[in-house]
Amino acid sequence: MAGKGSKKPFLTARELCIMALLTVILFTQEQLMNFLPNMNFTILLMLLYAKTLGFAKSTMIITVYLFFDAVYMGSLNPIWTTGQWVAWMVIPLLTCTMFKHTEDSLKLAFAGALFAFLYCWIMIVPTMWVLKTPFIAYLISDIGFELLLAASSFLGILLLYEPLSKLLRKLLKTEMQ
Amino acid sequence: MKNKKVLWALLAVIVIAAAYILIAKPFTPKGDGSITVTVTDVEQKVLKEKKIVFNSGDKLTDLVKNNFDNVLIDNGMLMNIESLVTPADWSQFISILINGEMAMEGIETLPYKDGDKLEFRMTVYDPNFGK
Repeated sequence: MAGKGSKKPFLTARELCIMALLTVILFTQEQLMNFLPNMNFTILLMLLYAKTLGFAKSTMIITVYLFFDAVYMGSLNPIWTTGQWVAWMVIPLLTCTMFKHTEDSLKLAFAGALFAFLYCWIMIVPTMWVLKTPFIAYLISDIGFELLLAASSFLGILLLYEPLSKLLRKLLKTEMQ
Repeated sequence: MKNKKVLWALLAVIVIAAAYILIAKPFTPKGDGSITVTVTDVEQKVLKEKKIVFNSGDKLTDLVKNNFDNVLIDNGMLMNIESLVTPADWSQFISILINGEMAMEGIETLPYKDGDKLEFRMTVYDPNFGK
């Protein structure tokens, strides 16, 4: 009901509710898939959110998700959680810049695999800092887990990005009408 | 285009399977040998068991300290390990068994070799022992 010339608010109540639900989905799917080591749809969803909602809103979702995830998993630590936030923030950052105009799910799947490796490599720093893990030993033992996260993210984006993107865009468009 | 996606999806499934095999296979560091160390309580219930890989020259005290929690060695005697704590009145103590036999030396000088089974067992002090 905004008058002519009035600015659209950054966040409407409905958008805020949708973002809260998207955060819940992000958190819940990770917990539900916890029995599979490093296999989840976290990167797919973060990429999807960044693509459809933009950098600022996806940053808000990722920050809230990370806080609840860290509290729930008992990993809330200034060094560890900050490192995790930086590692996750690579996704909206690169999605909204380098991959801004990419809509091909195959190319985005490769981007997802890249995000998985970047996440794991960035997390080496806080892991070594907090757990005093030797670098080479950690790097070698992490290869399998890196491959799992990269391949599962690749597969998830390849198969689910297009239908989920259509669905989310439709949901967000309904609001505009 | 669809065929291309199917092929990439199949490749991703193969990578997932390979990665699972990679992480499921236990990684054992190479060393000169290994010993099995068990911590048991006074009722001989196993509290912790660990296979420890060692290199020649490794001190037993260092291997134990690096692989178990709450290790306290005082004056050559193992006082605490994991949840076992020697009481102040010495009514119980941690005895060392090597291959099922009571060790003749303390933790600092006890010799060990590949395949040995060590046990740290909480034992009730018997004042009539040996009488």
